[in-house]
Amino acid sequence: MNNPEFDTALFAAASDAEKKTESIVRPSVGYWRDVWTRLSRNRVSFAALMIIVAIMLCAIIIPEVSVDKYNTGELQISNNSPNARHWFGTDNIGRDVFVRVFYGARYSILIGLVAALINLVIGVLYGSVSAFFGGRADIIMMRIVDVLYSIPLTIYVIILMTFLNRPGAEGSEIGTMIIAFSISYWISMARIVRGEILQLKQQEFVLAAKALGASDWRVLIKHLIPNCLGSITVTTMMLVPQAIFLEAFLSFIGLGLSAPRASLGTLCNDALAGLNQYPYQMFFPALMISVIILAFNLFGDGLRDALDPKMKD
Amino acid sequence: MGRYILDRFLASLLTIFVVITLTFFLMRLMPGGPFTSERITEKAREAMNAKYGLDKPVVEQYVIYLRNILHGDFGTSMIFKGKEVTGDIIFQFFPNSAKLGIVSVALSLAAGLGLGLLAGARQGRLADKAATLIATLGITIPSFVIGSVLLYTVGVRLRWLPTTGFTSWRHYIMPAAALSGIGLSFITRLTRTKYVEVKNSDFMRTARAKGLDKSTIIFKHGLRNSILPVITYMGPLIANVLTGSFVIERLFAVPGLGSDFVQSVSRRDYSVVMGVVIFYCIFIIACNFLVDILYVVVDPRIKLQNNA
Repeated sequence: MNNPEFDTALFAAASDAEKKTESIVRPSVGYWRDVWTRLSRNRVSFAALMIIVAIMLCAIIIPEVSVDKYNTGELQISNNSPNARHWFGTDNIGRDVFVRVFYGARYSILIGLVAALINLVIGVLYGSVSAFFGGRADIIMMRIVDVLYSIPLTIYVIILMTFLNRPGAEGSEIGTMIIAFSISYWISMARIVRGEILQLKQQEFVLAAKALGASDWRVLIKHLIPNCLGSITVTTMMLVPQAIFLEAFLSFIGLGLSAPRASLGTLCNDALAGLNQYPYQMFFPALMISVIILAFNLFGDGLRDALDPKMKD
Repeated sequence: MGRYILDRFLASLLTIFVVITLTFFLMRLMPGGPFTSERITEKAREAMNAKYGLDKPVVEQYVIYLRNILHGDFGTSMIFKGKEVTGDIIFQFFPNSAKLGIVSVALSLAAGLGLGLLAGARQGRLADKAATLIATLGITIPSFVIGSVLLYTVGVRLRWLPTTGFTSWRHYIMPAAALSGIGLSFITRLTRTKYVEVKNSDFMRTARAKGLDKSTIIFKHGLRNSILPVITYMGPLIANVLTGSFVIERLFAVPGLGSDFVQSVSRRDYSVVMGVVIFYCIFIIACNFLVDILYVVVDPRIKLQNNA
């Protein structure tokens, strides 16, 4: 190099030590890892998560390993108050309430989770298709949602339960309940996903993907939906307690699981007749429902903050 | 304004029509009929079907049903023969539900607005935390749990209030309180969030600088501007009180439409279930319509548009 403007003596090759100052030694933190860090720093929602996990484990393990079974009881020990042998007491035909509460939690949580997942799929598909293809399809699809939205969902679910769950079809209640919830609760998810995608589809990365020749479905599934995952996750988490609540509500008015199966709602319903004499039979399942719903709500709140710190008010 | 109201009115009519159609076909297309489970001979069943017009083609039944509804006739109960759905059931029981509902909505509004303003005014202080706690618990504890706890403690143990029946004002307290849990919590949250925003706005500072009375500042300037989200919530609130009444009326033995509806559901009294559902939907849609208009009356700044 014989450039008159630079004096080459002023330049020297960097040593290895100097080069290392710029090297990246800490692992790069991905989105979900970041979310996890933020979530575990939020003490309230982390505790809520721990409670959810603990209750789920107990619901799986306790009814299996316990000496008392959820469906067998001895009449001699019926309606015993809580004691050292039966921690939550016994019910009117001598079944252990402690085991039954955890057995009931199984069905409550199962229905909540499955219903939320199905609503997730339906809502995401409906909302994203409506927003992405737009035009007349969007108008018609959103009109349908508006009509469904103006009917109180509980009434709607009650009708579906009545007509789907005819007498003589025993043991089908879980399926019926999940179907009834699934037909109704996807609406909020569809609206949220539609709103997000309407905004996202204007952005440059969508244009870039299209310019590179990506098909509509590929843009939708590979580019748009992954960008809505945050709000989809939060909405799903909020659907779980709603479904658990609705299940308890329906069971309490006699539209729930039939004996010997039990959920927390049917346990409360069964305890109602003897409330004056045996309040503990109502107290424990009612407490369990409240704790589960509270834990899911607090966890959902924390998750929302963790997924998108900007949304925090 | 007139144009907007007309548009909304037509949309409401369309929704009601869709609800009636959906409910009707949902009911008719399911296998079996209202008399399948009764122990009667094939001939008697056919006679029953003919009596209720179930032997005609579905579309013809639908037209007949629509025409009857337009005349305010929802048919007669299929379990209690001869009882009219409109006269003997809906108009018999709904007034009780409506009274309880109004008390509950009033309670939610009064307590929710009060707690929300208090929490917003004392942001970050003890009162704020207490109000937030109440709001969280109110959302998470199901109404029937609140109801049962009240029933057992206040009713059975302390004997302060009567547990069943619906004759004096004392009977309203516990069911209305149990029904108000969710509404109260939502209103508290909405009011608090909005009031925190309003509190620091220019007009509030001006009101303070003028030296106005503290209650005038909070209630005339603060509350009025914080109430919009609460009005938006009135529609869902009414729907919520209505569905909540299904369990609460049963729990406290209130002779209302909610508990009657639940009984009809478990007895599978199809004509009653359908009539009540359609009545509820019309009621809710009418309430939403009124709320929309109220919204514009309260805040004239809102432009009337029909692109919701």
